[in-house]
Amino acid sequence: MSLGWLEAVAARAGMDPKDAELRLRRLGIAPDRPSRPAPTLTITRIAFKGEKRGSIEGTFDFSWSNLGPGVWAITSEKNFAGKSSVLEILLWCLRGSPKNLQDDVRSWLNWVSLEFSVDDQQYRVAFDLTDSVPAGNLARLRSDGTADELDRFASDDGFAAAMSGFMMRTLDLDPIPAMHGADGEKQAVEHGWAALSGGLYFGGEHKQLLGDVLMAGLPARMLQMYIGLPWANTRMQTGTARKEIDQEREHASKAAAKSAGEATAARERLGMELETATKLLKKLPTEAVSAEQLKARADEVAKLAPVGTELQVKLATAEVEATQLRSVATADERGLRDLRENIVATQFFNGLEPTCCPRCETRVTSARIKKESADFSCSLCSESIPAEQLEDTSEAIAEAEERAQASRKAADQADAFIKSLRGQVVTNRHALNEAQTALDEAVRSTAFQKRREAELEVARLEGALRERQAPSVQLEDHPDAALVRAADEEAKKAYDRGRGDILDALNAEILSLGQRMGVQALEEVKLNSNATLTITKGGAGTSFSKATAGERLRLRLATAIALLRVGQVRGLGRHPGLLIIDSPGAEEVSEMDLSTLLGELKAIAKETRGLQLFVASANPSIVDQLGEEQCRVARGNEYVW
Amino acid sequence: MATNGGIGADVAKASDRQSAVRLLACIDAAGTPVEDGTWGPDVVAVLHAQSRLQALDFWMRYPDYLANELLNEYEQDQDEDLLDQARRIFDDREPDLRRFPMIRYHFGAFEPLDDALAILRASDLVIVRRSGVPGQIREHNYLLTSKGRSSMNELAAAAPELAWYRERANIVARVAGTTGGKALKDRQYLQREYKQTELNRVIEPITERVRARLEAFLEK
Repeated sequence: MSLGWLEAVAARAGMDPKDAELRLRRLGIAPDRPSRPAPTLTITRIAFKGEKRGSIEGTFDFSWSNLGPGVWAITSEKNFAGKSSVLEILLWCLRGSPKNLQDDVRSWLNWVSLEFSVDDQQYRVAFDLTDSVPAGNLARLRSDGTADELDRFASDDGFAAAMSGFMMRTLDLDPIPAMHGADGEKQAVEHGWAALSGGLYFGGEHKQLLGDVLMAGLPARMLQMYIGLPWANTRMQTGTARKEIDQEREHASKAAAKSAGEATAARERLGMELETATKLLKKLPTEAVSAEQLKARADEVAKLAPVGTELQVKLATAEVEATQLRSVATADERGLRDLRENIVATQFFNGLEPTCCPRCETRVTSARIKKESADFSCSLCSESIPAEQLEDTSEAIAEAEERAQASRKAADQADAFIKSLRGQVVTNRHALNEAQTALDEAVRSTAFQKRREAELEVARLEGALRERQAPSVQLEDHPDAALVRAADEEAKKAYDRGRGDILDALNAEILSLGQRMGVQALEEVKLNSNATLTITKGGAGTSFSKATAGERLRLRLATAIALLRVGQVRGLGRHPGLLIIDSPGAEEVSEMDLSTLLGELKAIAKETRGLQLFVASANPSIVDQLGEEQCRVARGNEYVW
Repeated sequence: MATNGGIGADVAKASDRQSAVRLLACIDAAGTPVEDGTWGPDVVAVLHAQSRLQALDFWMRYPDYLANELLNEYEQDQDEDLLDQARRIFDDREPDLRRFPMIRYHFGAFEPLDDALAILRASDLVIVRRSGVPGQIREHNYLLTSKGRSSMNELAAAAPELAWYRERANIVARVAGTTGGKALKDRQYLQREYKQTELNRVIEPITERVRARLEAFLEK
């Protein structure tokens, strides 16, 4: 038995279906919904009031009721009579935002109401306008005419949001996911009602088969959505998610490539530096100062240092001693000199005969002088002169000389000792300095230092290189990358399987409708799932974009109606059956052609359930074709409203 | 010690006889010659005022202060002999060997001279004449006799140590010139160490300062 889609995706991604479902939902991916018939949108009444200003003046009150399936036309004999404005007001109400409504017309309006049905349910959107700003509500109408308000709005944005939400829900449409933006910087976006409603409008130059938003890929997706191709929506979701993840991965891989490139450059540079450093290291002498040498030098310092201290102590002591000895020597020298002076002076003064008393200046008598030399009695004071005073003084001098000589010798010796000690101190200091310098040099000899530096440099470079050689970080896959890939693959498979012959049926229907609508010599049409239409006309192959404007209009209408008809037959598709055609006559070669087209559309509408067409045309002759009751006509110079 | 000037320290003191020689040399060298017999028949010179004698004696006893005066003169006159004299004072270690400290009293350096002068007076070498009345002595005048002068010469001839006194007194006398005692004392006061010496204390030497000054001059 084959697996369900979710089971298949989960199996492919290697996870259980429950987890896969949850994660896919978070990524905005949902399995295809079962095929279901498209709801039918039918306009039943359009009405608006206001006051014209400017070149034409006056109030207006337009109302067009009892509308239903079939072809409805607004026509006038002259241009600028308000035909297109009716369609634009209708579109504004449906979209919630005006499409091409002229600003002056908008400014004239003060009330607008649109009633419509979706399948059997009646709805009404009505709003007042103050300074062109809409304020009103959207209501569901009961069969007795009672209104149940569904939403209300009081601004352009609020109106747009209200209608978009309502239509997407009520018409059961899926938003179209897409990637939008420049290559590599695409953002995931969603196209909602504003874009999808383009599938209802047929105006302008008919450049695209479906819709009017010129964006790559959008017409194809709108076509797929409106066809209701099974799994088309899921495929869009998976495709968008996949692109998003791929883009993320591409960014990451670019960044990784860049950093890998930088790492490679850094590795090359580091490698060269390492080579240089290694060479340098190899060149340096390996034998460092031997431990023995270091020890010998340290021992020398250790031996000399205390010797120096000892010498300093000795010197200080010797200096104190020398000072003391020098003092003694000086004192002795003074003593010797004093002694000599005293002896000489005393001998001199004693040798003088006293002549008078220094006190009273009485003259010394000769008798006293005689007495002194005979009795050793002082001739001045009569005291006896001590004998020792006359003793030989040479002994005392000799003794003092000896003492002075001895003390001077001792002092000189002390000085000499100091001198010698100082010399030793200097010698020791020099020796110690030399030993210390030798030791210092041994410890940080230049070779030793250089070698150490070179080793450090090599180690540093090796480390840096290792760091750079660490394998570059593996690009982390998005956690859901495998799941998204699996979902994408499975969605493609399911899409291809489910597509079946839907396109063939569509092609047959488009061909038939195209032929009925008057595309000349149309032999074959081939709609691709990318919304391109190739056609064979008069035996020659061509394409939609190369057809004439009138042919393009017919092919567009044929395609839209074919979507509706095939969908109805098969119970799928999403087109709501409302087609709004503005100025089809502009593309017509003749009035007859338009008349024929409308006649055929009328016939087609009759046989197609839920098909409603609104046509605005400046060709009143279509009234004959459609019937007065299906038209609002402005004759002569009249305005439609 | 010789260089220690503190109270109670072993201050070198000259004997009376040494002082007698020193004073005789001062009076001989600095006394004003007397020729007209004003002061007596045998008087050859007179030195006025005890303060002057004390001031001269100070320079005799403080060779470093004297050397400083010589350097002052040298600074002015640039006479190399002055520098040489100052240098010799230090070469001969005079500040160590020849200094005899004096006590500072409120009127300056002073030492009683009576005993030393008595020696000179007893043999008629110097006569002291006081002017004024007892109790109000105005001035001492030291009269040098011809015997005093010849004695000085004999002493100088007797020993080189004593000849030093006569030569030194000549230098001191020349440095002092005719300046009076008070002015000389003021000059001596200019030395911070002298001036700052407390009363009744030994006047401090200025040896090292003067030695440095001398060396600075010699280096030029």
